[in-house]
Amino acid sequence: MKVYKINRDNKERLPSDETVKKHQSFPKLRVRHDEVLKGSGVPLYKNPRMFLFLLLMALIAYLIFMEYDGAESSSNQSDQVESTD
Amino acid sequence: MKGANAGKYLPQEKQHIEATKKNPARFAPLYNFYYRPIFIFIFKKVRDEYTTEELTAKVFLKAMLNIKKYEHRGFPFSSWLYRIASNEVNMHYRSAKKIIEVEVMETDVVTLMEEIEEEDELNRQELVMKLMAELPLEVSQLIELRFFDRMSFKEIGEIHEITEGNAKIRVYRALDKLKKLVQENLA
Repeated sequence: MKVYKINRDNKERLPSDETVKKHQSFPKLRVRHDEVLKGSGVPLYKNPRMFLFLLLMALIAYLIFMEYDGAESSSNQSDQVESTD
Repeated sequence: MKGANAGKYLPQEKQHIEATKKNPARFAPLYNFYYRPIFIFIFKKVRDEYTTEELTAKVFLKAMLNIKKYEHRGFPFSSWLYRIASNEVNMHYRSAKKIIEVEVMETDVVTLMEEIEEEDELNRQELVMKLMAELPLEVSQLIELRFFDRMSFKEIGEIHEITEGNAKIRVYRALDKLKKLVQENLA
């Protein structure tokens, strides 16, 4: 959010040329540019958020597998019971 | 546009742009020429040196990353940079956790008051500026460009990639919205 403040002395306070030059650095910009192009370089699993996400995905996959496996083995058991009858 | 290189073109600008598309290292002349005007443009809207530095760096980084997509459509290269800068400033306003104070010159406010035909009293000035801050960012930005950055309709049109006539229409629509808001508030 922003608010406007009226400057009543009408003297615009702008940074000097030296101040602007202090921040101006093309080599720094190139480094940032190259970093963006390369990616951050940190493996996905070392990112805490990504690690949690991967862990959650693995857990869900495990639960689905267990559920499927359980259902399959119980249907096998009921088939065996039916055949012995 | 205001600033050291205001309204100036970098000599052989097109060649520099084409060279940068092939090799990002060739962006340096464009960066060095336009750094100050973009820095000042942003500074006027955030009034903090280090925030300005960060936002200016983002503007040039985005320009450098997207320059391959840049097409010359008859507007100066600087207008593309100002457009990126305006978007960055708006994003900063939206994400800022604290209230950002934008300093405006009283003389510019007086010109604005004349334009919307409001009485030029100190209390009324404060009210108009309070209500202007309530306008959507895209609307208040048009008024800022015209009255606080003192840009011509042609320059505003170049930033928004519209004709001078359309820029004029948009600015006057923005002023109408402000005027309506003031009248509603006074009623």
